[in-house]
Amino acid sequence: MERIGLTVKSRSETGKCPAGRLRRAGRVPAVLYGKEMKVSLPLSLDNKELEKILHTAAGGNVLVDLNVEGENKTHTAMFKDIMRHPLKGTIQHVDLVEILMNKKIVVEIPVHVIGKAAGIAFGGIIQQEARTIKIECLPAEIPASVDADVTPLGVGQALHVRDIKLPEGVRVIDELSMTLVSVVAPTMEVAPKTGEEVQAELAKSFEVKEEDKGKEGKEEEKGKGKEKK
Amino acid sequence: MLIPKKVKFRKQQRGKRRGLAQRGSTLSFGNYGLQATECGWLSTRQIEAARIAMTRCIKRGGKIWIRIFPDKPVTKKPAETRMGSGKGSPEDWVSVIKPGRILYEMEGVTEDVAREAFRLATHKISIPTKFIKRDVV
Repeated sequence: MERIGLTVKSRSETGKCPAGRLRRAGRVPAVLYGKEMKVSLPLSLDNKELEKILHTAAGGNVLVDLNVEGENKTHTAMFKDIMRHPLKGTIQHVDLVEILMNKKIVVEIPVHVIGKAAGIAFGGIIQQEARTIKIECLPAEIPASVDADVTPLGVGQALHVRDIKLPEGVRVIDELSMTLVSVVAPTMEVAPKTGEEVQAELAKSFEVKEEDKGKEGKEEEKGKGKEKK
Repeated sequence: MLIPKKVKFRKQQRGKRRGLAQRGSTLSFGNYGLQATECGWLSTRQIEAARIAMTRCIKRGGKIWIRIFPDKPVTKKPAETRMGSGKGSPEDWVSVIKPGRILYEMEGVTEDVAREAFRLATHKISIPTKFIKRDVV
């Protein structure tokens, strides 16, 4: 597993406005916490460096050696949560969790589908049910990804977590029966409804049922009674 | 067509569409998606028309997910009616869309086919949208 050094600044100001100022200055507000730390540490990271780190082969499971400016101590950390803007996709905030290299951790690793399923020749469609699996291992032994070979899968067949081969020292946390990839039969296209049918369906959805009518009538009467009072 | 099975109240107030989509703004099922860039209402007919356009384009090749549901009733007064005398009758169901909301997702097709299918779908939708795809990492 790759280890990347990153120089970060600690920040004294917290809250919406200071965070906005940081983002406009090309930095990302972050927070570092961990079981060994008594208090969490508010930080700020360089946006460009952060994007570069997140696009290595390790993906989101990269190990980062944080050098806090003005401190001599180095923290080894991993990304716990990355908050992105819903529309722009820019990083808004990062949660970093301090880790110990000799203690096992739980992480999610991506599942890569390889090969061409036998069912595709018969019109099947590959459907990836899970894109990640949860594993437990030492931080230095985190695999970058896990391969799911779909070559023998026919239509209606699936690949489960138990079919995946993982390196030694890695334990799966997810259920072994969890489906990763399946080959499904294509769905038949239903003939679209005509305008009249659509109109009738919509009108039917607004019809008040007899039971509800009684309730509504009572409610209206109650309302009128209150107004009179 | 997507229509609620049962609702507690037949009529609703129009409401506001401030802010960004807080939920449903990331791809959850497919590799490609259509994301709204502005706010608006999408009617059940628009959602269905866009789905049909996409299904015809991909020709049994992939799978489509609809990430929105029209659960808001919209009322209308009949034509040439004087104002007043109460709220109109329910005419349609709409889904409230905020910027960032994923409308559809697709899997099992190439990027070119997905782009073309979503392009055809956008012609049925009254909201500006953009094509997004899942990061490989």
